[in-house]
Amino acid sequence: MSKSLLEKLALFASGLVFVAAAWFWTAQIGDVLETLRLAYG
Amino acid sequence: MDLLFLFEWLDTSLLAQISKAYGGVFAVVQMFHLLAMAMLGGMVLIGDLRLLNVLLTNLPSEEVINNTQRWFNVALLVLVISGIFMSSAVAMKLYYNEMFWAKMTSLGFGIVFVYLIRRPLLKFNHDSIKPWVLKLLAVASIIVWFTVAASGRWIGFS
Repeated sequence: MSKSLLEKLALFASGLVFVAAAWFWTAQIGDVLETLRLAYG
Repeated sequence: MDLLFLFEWLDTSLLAQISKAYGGVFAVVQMFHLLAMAMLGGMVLIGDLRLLNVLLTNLPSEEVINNTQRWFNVALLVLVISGIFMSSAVAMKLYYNEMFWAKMTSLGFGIVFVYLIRRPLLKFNHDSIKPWVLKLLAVASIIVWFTVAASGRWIGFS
């Protein structure tokens, strides 16, 4: 594969990682906060 | 595609019989799993922090990446083999665990990311690659492998 194509792929994959990780960890931390709220009010 | 049959097979396999019957064997394999995880995490951090110009800046980044990639491969192989063995002990429990699938998804993505994008791109002279692409790649790589490790740990809490 050419370097410019790999650079574009890297850019796309990195963007995907940032969005997916932000969504995933926000959801996980939200679940933990909800559990804590249920437990302690 | 439903992989239930694979987990049912793993749950009754010879691996499962050994991992369930011999706690000592399980503990030793788990030790290798954790050692390999530490090694993989170390290699990811060394390589990616070099790409971010945070450490080992006195060494060419190509050299650092070549050396860390070699040990990354070894660590990943040990992780996968020991992980399959450990999974066999609780195969059905894992099948119904959402966090296990989050870990497998991020692991699958991480493997594709490393072997189809990161490694082929970093075979080129790093000076010829756009610096911000290198930095984005390094940060994304750290996030992916952090997610693999952290979601693995999260399995125990879910």
